[in-house]
Amino acid sequence: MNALKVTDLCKTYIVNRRQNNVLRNVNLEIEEGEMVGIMGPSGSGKTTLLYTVSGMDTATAGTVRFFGEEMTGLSANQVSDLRLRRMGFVFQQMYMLKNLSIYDNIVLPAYQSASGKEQRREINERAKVLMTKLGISEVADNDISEVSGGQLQRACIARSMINNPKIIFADEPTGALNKQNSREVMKELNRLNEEGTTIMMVTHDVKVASRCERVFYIEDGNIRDEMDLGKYAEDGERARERELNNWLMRLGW
Amino acid sequence: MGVMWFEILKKDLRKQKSVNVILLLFIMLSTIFLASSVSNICLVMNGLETYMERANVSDVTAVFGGEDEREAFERWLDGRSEVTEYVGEQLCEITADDISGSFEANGASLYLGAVGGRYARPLDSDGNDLVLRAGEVAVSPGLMERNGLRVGDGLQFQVSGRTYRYRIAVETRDIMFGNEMSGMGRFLFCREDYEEMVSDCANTKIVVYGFNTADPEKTLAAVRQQGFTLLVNIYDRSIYSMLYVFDMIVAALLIVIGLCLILISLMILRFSLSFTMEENYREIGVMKAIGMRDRAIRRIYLVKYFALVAAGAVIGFLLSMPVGKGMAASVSRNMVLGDSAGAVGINIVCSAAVIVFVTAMCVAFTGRLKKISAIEAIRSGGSGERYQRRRGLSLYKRKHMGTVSFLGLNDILCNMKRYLVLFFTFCISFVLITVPLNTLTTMESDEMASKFSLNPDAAVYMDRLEAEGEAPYHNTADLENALRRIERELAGQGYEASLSVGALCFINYTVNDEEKVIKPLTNYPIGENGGYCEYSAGEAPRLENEIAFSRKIMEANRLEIGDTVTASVGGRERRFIITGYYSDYMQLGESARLNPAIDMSEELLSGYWKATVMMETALSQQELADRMKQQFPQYEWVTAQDAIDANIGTTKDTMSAMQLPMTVMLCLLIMLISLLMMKLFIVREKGQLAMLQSIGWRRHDIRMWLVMRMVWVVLLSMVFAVPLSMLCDRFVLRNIFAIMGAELRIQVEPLRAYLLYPAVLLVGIVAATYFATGSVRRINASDMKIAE
Repeated sequence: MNALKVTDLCKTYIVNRRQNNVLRNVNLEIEEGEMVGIMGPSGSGKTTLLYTVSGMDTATAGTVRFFGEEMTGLSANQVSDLRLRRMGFVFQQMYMLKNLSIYDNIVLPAYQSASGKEQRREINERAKVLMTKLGISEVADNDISEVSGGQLQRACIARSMINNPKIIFADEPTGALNKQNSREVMKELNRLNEEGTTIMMVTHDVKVASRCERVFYIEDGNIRDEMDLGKYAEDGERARERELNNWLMRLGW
Repeated sequence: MGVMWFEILKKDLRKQKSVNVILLLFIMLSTIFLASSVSNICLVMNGLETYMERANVSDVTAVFGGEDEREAFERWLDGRSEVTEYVGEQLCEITADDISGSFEANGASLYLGAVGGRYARPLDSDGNDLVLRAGEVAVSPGLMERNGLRVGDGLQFQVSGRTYRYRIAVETRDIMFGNEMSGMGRFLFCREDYEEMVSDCANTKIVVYGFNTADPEKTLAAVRQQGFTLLVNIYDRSIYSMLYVFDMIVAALLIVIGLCLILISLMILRFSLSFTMEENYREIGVMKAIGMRDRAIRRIYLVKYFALVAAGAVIGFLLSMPVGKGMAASVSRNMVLGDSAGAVGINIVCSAAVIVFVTAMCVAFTGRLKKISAIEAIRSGGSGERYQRRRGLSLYKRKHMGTVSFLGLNDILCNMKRYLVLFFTFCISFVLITVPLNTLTTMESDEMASKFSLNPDAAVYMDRLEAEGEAPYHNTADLENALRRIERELAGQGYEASLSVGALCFINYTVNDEEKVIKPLTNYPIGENGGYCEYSAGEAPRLENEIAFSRKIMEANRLEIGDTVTASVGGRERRFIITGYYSDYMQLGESARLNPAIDMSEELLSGYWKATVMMETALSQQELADRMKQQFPQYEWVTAQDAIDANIGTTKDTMSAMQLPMTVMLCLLIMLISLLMMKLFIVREKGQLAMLQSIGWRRHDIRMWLVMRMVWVVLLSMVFAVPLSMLCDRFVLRNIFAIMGAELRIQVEPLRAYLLYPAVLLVGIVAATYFATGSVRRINASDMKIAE
């Protein structure tokens, strides 16, 4: 089943009375359980594509189907509910509420959608499991200013997973991290994907993109090409990177 | 460098448009209030001196309740070397019933008098001596207003069974009788008309003596030591400052509001400045890195705020002049004001003071810039090494709290400083609303009534016991007869009532073994409730040789319960034991209470206090008074509130009239501040709001979170505001009431003061905040790029 089906998607901004067509008739399909990467030069429309298909921004034209459900006709509240319960988000900047601890930031979306003490207890259980899996249990009560960038990004991943989403949208998830932290974060995303979560990720990093099953190359608001790398396996990492690099060079990257 | 300077200024003006406008508005309002109120108070204070000069107020004024002791008193004055000159002026007592058209005197004693006296001369509105022709009468503004009279209207007086018709020619400025606080009012005629009216009149004629003396204090003390039984009152010029102090109340209140506005402006300014600096950290860092001096950077901010403050103060100054004129016009109805040319100067000084003070505070606030190093500024406030642990709560530990409510409370606890402006504003607004409210509640309470010796359990009170055509009573026998007569008349109409009254006279007491003589107003109870009083210590005098004094007299003369005083009562010298003391407003807190057993039939009374009517009735005092007025129109029936109002002048009316507009104004003010602050928070937290949207929060929930934040600020500020209001009641209000001679417990209606009014404030604040959060609709999840 298609997790996401995008048809003739267009997004136009008017800047200083000039029309700027950021997305031009984008068509793509992502299967449930897939991990896809979106690559392309700066200003090509990668982030806009991610924001538009996830309902964070509105499309100028075209349709987006999320697990068969048409998103473009939904009200703002319905889109918010979709994002809260069925989507997860990880951003390059680790946006969190600075007045809350790491733990509270993680459980916040789930508490917001929960009703009753019993549900909160379940959320707490789920949060503890997630934090243990992501290796951040020991910083649960810390402030967001007291942890490393890698720990913070893993906390963001935990937050995105707290409502058991069907899909995670990640915008440059390792962009602000060092090599070691990037590796840890990508390992977690791969593990989540293995457990069945669909992931759509925008990245500049060939090493990061090589962990995806499929990579789309976007240029001037259009999908120019796509590459099928197959399911990620750690032992074939170098070969995947090389293959992806060659493909990108062919596209003029 | 210049470009960056200009860019910061431009960005600040654009981003903080509403803050700048509000700041301008606040500075303008505080300048208006301060400049006009200060100049008004100066005008009244200087005006009082001018008024007294023009009216030729004597050093000492003595009021005699009859003419019998005139000769003796003038002989005594002739023998005093320090008394340079004196004049006694006769006034004829009348009642409101003697005047046409159900005349309302608000409990004041009314007199007829003639123009042309030497002291305390009545003037016209321009401050000139009053000149009246035959057939003309002059009336004071208070009486005119209360009875809806205008110059040119006709007035009829019934004196000695004859009717006299006059035309109101002038609204007089009468320094002694024109102020409602004096409890007296007079109608003035030309000498011939007055003589004609009172020549055959049996009404009491009082005599007002004015005399100049080289040593007013010595003369006052000497007069008090004499045994003039008809001497009702004696005072020096200082009494006028007290009578007219209430004309400054509105101005004083506006000064307080003006000062509060300045304080709030300063807090907004501080908030706005720190917000601007945080926003511009990077620019500040760059400017510092390229070698710009701190002073030059500070100038960027100071220039803007100086321009803003100066503009607000100049507009405020211009508007303060018509406002000040309006305030002076309301005061000039009661008195003749002097030259107001100096008022402009005072307005200028006040406006300049606002500019200097606020700018100085701006300089102090920008001092923080010095502490920011270039690297800190470039890193947007973080040195990269120091972290401060937040002081918030844990969401997962608050099992019963919704996320919206939790986030609201947690934000405040984490950033207390940020909410100080709101906290302070809400507290002050609450106190400014509850203190006048509690003042009014106290003025309408049983506690206040008891301080005026009014039994709160009485069915109704009587202000006049004399039957139609009878002269005022001046002995106890007349009073006792009147009480029995009225009881019979009431019984005839089916009212089983018991009447009692406190007879009033001035008696000389020798205290401290003949070292000192005092002459306080003495209350002699006739009937069961005639001596109603709440004693602070000891008990009421019962036996023939017992007496009680007010606390003020006890303290001033170092008297204790059990001490003795001597006095000549009933023609012989007696010794009295003090059995207790009390604290009330009778004669400004200086009075005595005699036992009911003593024979006072020989004593000449100066008058009597309100007669207490006790009876079984389901009617309220007001309903019964209205009914009695219809059934027994020959007497004056009053409620406890009427009696209180007559004694505290127009203060209650003024406060009552100001209560609603002031509450509305404060409510609007805090709504404006809440709106402004919320808008600032939204600009500042745009990134966080966008992040919440990205993780699926609905806009409505985000708005609710922001509204809940304000609700928590209101609730927390009330926790401090209620005790603060109680402290103000205890230490400010109580002392103000004590000026009248006694301490009283400030009365509070808890539901109204601590529930209804905070609820009204809360509703206003929530409405303003919800309105301000409308801008959340324009924030999208994609705005996270502008995160804090």
